[in-house]
Amino acid sequence: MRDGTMMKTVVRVTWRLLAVCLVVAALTAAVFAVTKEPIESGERARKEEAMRLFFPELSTYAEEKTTASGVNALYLVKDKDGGALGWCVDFSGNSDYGGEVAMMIGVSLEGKVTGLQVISHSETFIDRYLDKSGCYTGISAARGSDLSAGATLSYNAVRNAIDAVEQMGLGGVK
Amino acid sequence: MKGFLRQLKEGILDHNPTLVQLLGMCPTLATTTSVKNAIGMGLAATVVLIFSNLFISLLRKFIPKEARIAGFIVIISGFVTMVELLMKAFFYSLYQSLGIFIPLIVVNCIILARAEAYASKNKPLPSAVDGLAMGLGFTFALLLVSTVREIVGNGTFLGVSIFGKGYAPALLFVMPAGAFLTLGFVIAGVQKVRAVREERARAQARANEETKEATV
Amino acid sequence: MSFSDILLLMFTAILVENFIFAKFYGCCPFLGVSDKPDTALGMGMAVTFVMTLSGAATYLVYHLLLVPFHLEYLKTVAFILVIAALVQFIEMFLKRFVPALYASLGIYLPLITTNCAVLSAALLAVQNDLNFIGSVAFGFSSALGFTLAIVVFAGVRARLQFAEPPRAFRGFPITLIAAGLLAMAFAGFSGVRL
Repeated sequence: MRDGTMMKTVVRVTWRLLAVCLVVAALTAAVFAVTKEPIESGERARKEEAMRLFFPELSTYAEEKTTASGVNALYLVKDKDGGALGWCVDFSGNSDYGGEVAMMIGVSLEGKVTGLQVISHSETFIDRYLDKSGCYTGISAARGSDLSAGATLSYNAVRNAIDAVEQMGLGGVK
Repeated sequence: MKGFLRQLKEGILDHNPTLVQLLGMCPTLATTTSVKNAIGMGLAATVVLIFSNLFISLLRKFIPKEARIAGFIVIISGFVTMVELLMKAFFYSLYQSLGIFIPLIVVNCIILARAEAYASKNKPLPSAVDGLAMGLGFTFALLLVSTVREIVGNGTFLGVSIFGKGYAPALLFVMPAGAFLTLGFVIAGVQKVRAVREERARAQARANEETKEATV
Repeated sequence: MSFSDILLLMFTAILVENFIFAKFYGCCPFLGVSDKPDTALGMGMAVTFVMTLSGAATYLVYHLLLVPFHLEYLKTVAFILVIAALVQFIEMFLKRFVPALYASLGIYLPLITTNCAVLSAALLAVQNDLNFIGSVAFGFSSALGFTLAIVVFAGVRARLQFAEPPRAFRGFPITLIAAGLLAMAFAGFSGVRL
């Protein structure tokens, strides 16, 4: 007799909780579907903006194949006449423990890293070490140790990123 | 209507979830480095509070009593995820600044406390208002702390420089230690104000007693 | 991840990125339970147990369940459910096998579910793309950092009981200020790199 009511309670509790879970999951999926497009187009816009910072004459960019690790995409940037301006590397660095840092790295036609912009970061103290447009100004700033305390973890990310890109051996474009 | 206004007043002042009930410490300490972040966090939490209170109240007879905390948590985390997605799509820079603290709204003690103490026992409309009231109270507390921290620790308010270029900010205030200290002083201030008001109320009551006795 | 990477991860999680004094995760119980050093230690151990297991469980749930079905955006919901279940299980375990600890933790035990520290560790492990071992190690060492903070602080608070701060500061405010001073001490660790 006792077992019967205990079982009934467990079943009742379980199916009700499940029902709540399903309703919540459905609502969340609906919001996800609605926000998917804005999120993706926002990402694209931010990346393009970053590329434009290094190459103001950017008109189009073409994705190139690469297998270097950490690189999400390699873009060959062209001006409106189709002339090559340089490369942009969409790089995901692990700032060791502070979170994933997505960066766009500008590379000149000679294969040298000319600039780096953080596209997304998850450390709330990092803001004070970036200039207004989110750039580490120049490579020396990134390599120097004036990025202090709150940003040491991203310093690692920056250094790793620059090293990785320079190892890619880009350069000498037609 | 009067009831709702009273609810609002109590949420923001007398029963302020952070300054009086001492709930929601994590985000209060972590997101108050700038007024903009603080307001963003406060409003995001308020939105979650309103909807989760509303939803929980609507389902209050359906959610099994024995597993109600689990039920509340599922509902709260669902709305937090929805708010997170909406922020990522339409308020990206705020989403970036608040970072991991957006999903952490799920474990904001305030929301669970209100679900348990109010929403599960009251009708939907008052519950939603309660969510609004408590959320605004939370935002108010965040505003107080962040104002101090940003002005003293950064020399700005909402990004606008107040003291001009010559001001060397007291960096301590935008660091973790400063958060604890600022909140400590703010709550001390609140406790002082409440103590003074209570003392006045007591003195008033005593005076009333005496006049009553005198007229007898 | 090599062994030295893991060690570095752990060292950083305990001292440099201390969950409470550097990142504020786990504040509520920190400010609530740290009254007595014994309870604090018990709480710390319970949290360590939960966080280590949740490091493993959340990793599995994320990579075996959410990712294959492209449901990454549901990770907050999934993780908190896993954690709630874990805490429930530990509650039953302690009630049966270590009743003294169960009694002294009281309401703070089920509150581990809402402890920011546990959920943060799980979310950060995913964010940093840690593998299984890394995830478990991160949960474990963040919890150790939390325990360190909470036990040290309990000692401070035990002393505080004999102090007489101004009336307005009694209770919570003076506790916060003490925590602030401790946070300053821990700030000395930032910038330490092996």
